[in-house]
Amino acid sequence: MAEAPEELPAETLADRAPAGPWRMALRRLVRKKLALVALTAIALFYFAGFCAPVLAPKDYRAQDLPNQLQAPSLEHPFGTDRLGRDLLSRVIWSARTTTIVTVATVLAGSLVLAVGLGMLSGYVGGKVDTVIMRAGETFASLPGLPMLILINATMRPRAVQGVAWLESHISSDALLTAVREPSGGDFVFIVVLGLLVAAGIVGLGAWLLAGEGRRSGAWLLPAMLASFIILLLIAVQGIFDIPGSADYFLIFGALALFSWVGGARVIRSQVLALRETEYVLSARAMGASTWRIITSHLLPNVSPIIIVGVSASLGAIAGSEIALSFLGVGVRDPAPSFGGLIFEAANPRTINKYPHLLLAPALVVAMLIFAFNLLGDALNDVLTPKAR
Amino acid sequence: MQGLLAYAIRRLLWMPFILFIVSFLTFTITRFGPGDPVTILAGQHRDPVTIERIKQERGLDKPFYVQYGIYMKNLAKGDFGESVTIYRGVDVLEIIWPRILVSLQPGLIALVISFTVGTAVGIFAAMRQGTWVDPFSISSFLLFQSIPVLVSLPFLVLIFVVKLGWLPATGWGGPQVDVGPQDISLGIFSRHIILPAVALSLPGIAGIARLVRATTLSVLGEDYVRTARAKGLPETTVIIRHVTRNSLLPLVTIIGLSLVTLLEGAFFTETILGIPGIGLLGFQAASSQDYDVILALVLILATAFILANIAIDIAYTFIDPRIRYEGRGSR
Repeated sequence: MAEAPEELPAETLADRAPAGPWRMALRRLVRKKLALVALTAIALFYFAGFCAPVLAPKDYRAQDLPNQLQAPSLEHPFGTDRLGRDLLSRVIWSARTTTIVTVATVLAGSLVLAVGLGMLSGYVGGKVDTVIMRAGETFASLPGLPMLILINATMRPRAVQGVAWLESHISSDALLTAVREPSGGDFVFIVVLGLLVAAGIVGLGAWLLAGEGRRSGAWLLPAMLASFIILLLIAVQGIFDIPGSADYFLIFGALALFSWVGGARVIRSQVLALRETEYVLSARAMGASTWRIITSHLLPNVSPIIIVGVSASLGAIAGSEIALSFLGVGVRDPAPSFGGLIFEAANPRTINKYPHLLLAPALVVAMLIFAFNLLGDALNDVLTPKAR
Repeated sequence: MQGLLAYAIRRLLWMPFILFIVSFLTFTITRFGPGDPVTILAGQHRDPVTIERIKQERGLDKPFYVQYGIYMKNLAKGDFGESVTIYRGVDVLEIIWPRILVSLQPGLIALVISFTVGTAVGIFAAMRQGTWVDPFSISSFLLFQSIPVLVSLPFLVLIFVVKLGWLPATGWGGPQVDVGPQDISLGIFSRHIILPAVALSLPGIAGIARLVRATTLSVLGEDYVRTARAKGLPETTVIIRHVTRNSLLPLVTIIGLSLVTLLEGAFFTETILGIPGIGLLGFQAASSQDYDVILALVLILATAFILANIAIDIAYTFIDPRIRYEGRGSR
């Protein structure tokens, strides 16, 4: 509130090109030094996560029993754990775990579920709205952490089975064999997949060829769906190589199930308000399709809220993954996670003798979640100026 | 007033449906889990005859919706089933009941700490709006909010137990009281309460402080505060009598959120410090696949949680009469 008067002249003096709302928001964000620091920290963390196989100096699983529980040294900057594994490498690989889980949860829970259900609920209204909101109320009334523990503890064998099934059907090897010697169910699966891909390419092509002004979202929908499925297939390939990948699926599935409610509610209320605005009414009067109204009138107006919501939920998602791994129902040893690292180090006897085991992972976690919160606050200020 | 009553009744009528859905979901999840109770109960005698007998005894040969019906029928009589692995053959309710009482102690103390400190910091920051003290005090507690209990607690242990030696390392102690199934220790009267209570209270302070700061700032701009100051009342009287009373009302809404944080935090304080509460129980039950215990725990917590939320919503409309007149009043 105090900084509003300082900002106004700076914006009016800025370059003469008409500044869109996004550019203005970006400019406001750049002016917040703390947010930039937070953004840099988060970017570094995700960089470490994505490049873990390259960055980690040692194999995170390589045991070196004679050198167990060493204090930090030049060879092991963070020391070693009770099996002689290099702690620095384990921290970097833990960053990868957190990266995978947060990105997957945000994509599945915050973007697909929350945006989809929120828009549907707000725009369609009626019974659909009632059902979605009641379901949301039920989810919101559940105690989150105990439910997550329950799901993760009980559903693990199912998840392992599921991943095994997926691997036998859609891993690149399985697909190749199915194409070479098609038989029964596999054949149907391949045909359906091929049809989807074809529909996607045709849709995308039609959308591109339709020309400016006549582009209808109706063509884009199958294209998006198909490309989504293709991307998913490609993304899934990498997962079969990781041991214990079922844990990842389980965690982000469970987290996504519980993380959509808040976002969906906010988006719904915004859509309810937008639906009655004059430009939406006039678009509808001119005969714009529902899809067009949603993509070109509603989504752009809702997207600041989506970004704020996603950035606010990232810290909570990362925290939940770490918490579940800490309690032994998340990512399990030898797959590294901050939760597991902290659990190993957290009992008073270990803290007494080997505090370095605690310091490295705990400080990284604290910094990460603090950075998420700072960035979430800053984005909230920048993107929803009315709330100030 | 009529609207409020209807609202309360509607919320309360909706509750059994939610509880039905919750219990059905959780029950289904546990029945699809690994390590089914039969193999655990059969132990050494894994011959088909014994397994068949155990299945029939417990109704496990029936489809799961029939099992759910049986479970709910027993539940209506207050029977949550028995523990299979942790305390074999002991009634689940007898295990959970004393542990809830243990977990409540650090939880309540933490609630008191976070609300007093949060309110004080919030008012303090609002009074100094525009100086560096305001953002500094709020953001330093924001740092605490960002640190999960499972990170902050080991640090507290490192400082106050290992380095300074002021507090007992682990465990739970204090005068014993008989609560029925077994004795529990009243940790409130011992030094054991300090670490868990402080660790649980830290994450909540920032949220409370920010809310109090915001409401205090808006109250400070009200006409009656200006009038009070114009009358020449001392600033402390204005703050205590005119500002605080009105600015603390919205805190009621945040109690629900605080309860959740405390509940989730208990899993970590109790696991790290070895306090025999529901958090430790949930941890043990999850790792040793004692599903009836987790199921009972989730159901009890969900019920408490839903009831608390309804109570808070209703209390809020009672406390703040403006809610009913919203939109009609002219300022």
